[in-house]
Amino acid sequence: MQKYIFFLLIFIVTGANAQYKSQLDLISKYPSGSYTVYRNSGGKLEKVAKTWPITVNMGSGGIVETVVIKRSGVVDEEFKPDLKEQPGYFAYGDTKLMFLENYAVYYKQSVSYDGATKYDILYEFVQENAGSRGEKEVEKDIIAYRAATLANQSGTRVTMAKNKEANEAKEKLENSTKGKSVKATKFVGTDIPKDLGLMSKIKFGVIATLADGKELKTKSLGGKTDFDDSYSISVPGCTYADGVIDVGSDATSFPNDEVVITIKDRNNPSQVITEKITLNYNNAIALKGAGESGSSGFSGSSGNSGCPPQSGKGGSAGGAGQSGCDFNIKIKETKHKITGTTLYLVEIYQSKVNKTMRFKCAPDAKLELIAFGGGAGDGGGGGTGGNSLSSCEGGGRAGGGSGGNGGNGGNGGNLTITKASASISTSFISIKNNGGQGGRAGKGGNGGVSGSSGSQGSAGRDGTTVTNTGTVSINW
Amino acid sequence: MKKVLIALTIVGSLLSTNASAQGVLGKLKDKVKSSGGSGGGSASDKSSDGDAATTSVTDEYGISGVYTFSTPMQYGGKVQKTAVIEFVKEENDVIVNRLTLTLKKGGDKEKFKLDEKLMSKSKVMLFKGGIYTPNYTEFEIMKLDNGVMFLTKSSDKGYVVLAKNPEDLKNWDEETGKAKYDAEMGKVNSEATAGLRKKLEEKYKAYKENVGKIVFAPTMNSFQHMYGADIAGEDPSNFITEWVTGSGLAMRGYFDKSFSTTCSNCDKKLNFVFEMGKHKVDWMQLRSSGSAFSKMFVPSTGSSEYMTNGVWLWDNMDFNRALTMAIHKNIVDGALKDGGKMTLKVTAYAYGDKTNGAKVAEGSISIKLNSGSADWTKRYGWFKDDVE
Repeated sequence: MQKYIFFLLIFIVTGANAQYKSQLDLISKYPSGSYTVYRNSGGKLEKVAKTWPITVNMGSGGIVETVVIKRSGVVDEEFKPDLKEQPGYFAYGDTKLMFLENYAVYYKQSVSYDGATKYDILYEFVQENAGSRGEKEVEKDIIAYRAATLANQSGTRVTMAKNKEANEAKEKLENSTKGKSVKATKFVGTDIPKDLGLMSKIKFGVIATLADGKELKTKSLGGKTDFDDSYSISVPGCTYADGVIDVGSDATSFPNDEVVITIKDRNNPSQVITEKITLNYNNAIALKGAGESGSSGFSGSSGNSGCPPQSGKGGSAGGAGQSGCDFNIKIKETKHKITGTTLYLVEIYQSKVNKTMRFKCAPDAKLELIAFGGGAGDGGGGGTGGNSLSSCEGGGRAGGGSGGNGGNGGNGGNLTITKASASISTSFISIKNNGGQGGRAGKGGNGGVSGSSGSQGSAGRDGTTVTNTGTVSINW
Repeated sequence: MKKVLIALTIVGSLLSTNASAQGVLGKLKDKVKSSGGSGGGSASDKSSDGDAATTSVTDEYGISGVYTFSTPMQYGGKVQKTAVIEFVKEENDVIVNRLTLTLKKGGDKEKFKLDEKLMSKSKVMLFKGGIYTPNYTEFEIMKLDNGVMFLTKSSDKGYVVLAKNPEDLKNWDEETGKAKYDAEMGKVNSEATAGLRKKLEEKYKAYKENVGKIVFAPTMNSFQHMYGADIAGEDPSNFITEWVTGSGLAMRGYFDKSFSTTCSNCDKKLNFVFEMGKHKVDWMQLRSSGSAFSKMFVPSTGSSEYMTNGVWLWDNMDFNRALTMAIHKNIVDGALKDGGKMTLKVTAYAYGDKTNGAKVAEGSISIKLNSGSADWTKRYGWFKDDVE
């Protein structure tokens, strides 16, 4: 250990960089020609019968363009430098080639989920008939050289990153409305559904026409203008990001039955446009209020062997499914503010979560109310009985544990529909409020006497639906 | 049955790992040499120590016959230098395309099936099958040349060459076989990847509508990411454009080009940069900045070429530090206040050698700060304890 620390200190004091040689320096020791190959056979590097040709293709200014390995003299593999100006290795697909002082190594590198790097050494190349370095030593060499390379390349990589960032910023600015005179701004819908209502999605782009006639298009229209950089967009009652509007679920947010989109050019304050899109409420809406499923019971543990052996433990009961939501629904007719067509105002109160939803629906639309009772969990199986030891008097095996009971399914939610007039058809409402299934019985554990099975849980009751006609008070 | 089990165990150990495969093969070679045998063998050697199987089966591809191993194998306690391969295309008027490998006279015929898709698309004859070693293990046999076959374990590195004429083993040694096998499989994989993008567009609405984008959803369950490579059966209507702090959030990116084309040596690794207001937070840089962040996982495309896995950002188990850092910086400088909204832009880069490579996807979401959310308050408190 002391010896290791001593060498580590020497390494730190002298510094890896002092001895660092780039791949361009090291490759000069490897002229094009045939090389002896050692193949990794389970950690042992074994000499391969044939030599393999390696060709180094030099570019101008001492740059290595490619290194071609003709594997077994049959298949060409063209390796390219990771960083042309300062290569740390050469890559062909996911295979890497690294030239070191006395040998070159052909390996694969992988990084695990937790960030650990693994080197899988496949071949080692040496001058004709030279010996092999050995897998462990090669791996150590790769790790040391990689660390030195990354430290050495850091300056180049930082410069490259800065250049890349500068190029991205330049491109962003070129395509932004910043510093440009915009004479017109135009909204272009790219995906506006025919059946458009609450909870629909609207996709769009924006075109800015400059004074010189040039057009700047947002990315959603195939251009390069960044939405957030050039425009401030507000859409009351909706959420918005990146050219996509999610129409909200509250009908009171759209008093005129339209989505109002205001687009302001952040860089040209006079450029403000408003786009209004009429909602026809023909789309399908689903309101989910199903009960949650019950969890399965745990299996009982097995009995220990011994004198006397222990019985298996009983499995636990499955959890009950939860009841579906009760919905109290009020429906009243109204007219579309723009088209004058008949619409339904639908107000739904969910007592379980004390929440009121306010929808508008066209008579031909579909409103799905999901109020299933939750399915129950199955009972856990009983544990197996323990065996008696050979030294026990009488011998035999203990009994198995009892299976747990299946849980009971949750009841379906009850729906009460009150409509303002008999002429309102509720056929646009689709109701799913069946009771949840009962859990299966847990099986008894095996043993001298098998454990008894649990009992099957009962199914939940289907929810009821009652429709009345009467006074409906909806004030929005 | 017992004999069969022993034999299969040996085949498995020969080919299960490099250590067991080539190490055992090496020892067997030495043993054969010391007893007067030769590694490659010759026509007259075929009897070897064990009883060689024979065959009278012929086929249109010239595959069926007695083959000599590049390295002898031990079978039933004896050194076996040869094996019989038989190929049957048709049986009782039914196309079966079955190849069998028999190691010993009277021994079991291990069954392999021709991959007909590869044969028709790439003209590569690859047979897939399995051997109990004692657990079921997948193997592949590829035709390298007339009378020359390559046997390899699908998931590992053990391999041998088999040749009808032992003289062919001088040209087709194991490394040559491996090189040819890798080249053929590389060709097959690049052909498969080339047609994949079109298929994904045809099959998945989520992919088609969002190529080059990162999308967001309230839970990881919104993405169909855990069922295999390049599967995107998620419903785009579940994607969201606004996140209220403390609720669930996950994201996924869809690529325009195959990830291996974009970065062949990135080992499928990615990085995400979170940009919000004046601040940029680089996931991998943050990860390496201190112990509080070092447990963040390394983002990966998994086995997919055209999409990321689903990436959780906030759920009932944990929260993403890079996202939280971007929000935190905007809270600290006063840009984001309770009830206020800001746009978060997320950019995905191919990531190798601790460097961001090409941009592969980007997307934005509006973030609304809800300081009253219990889940946000609790976790943001932990986060601040770590960074302040």
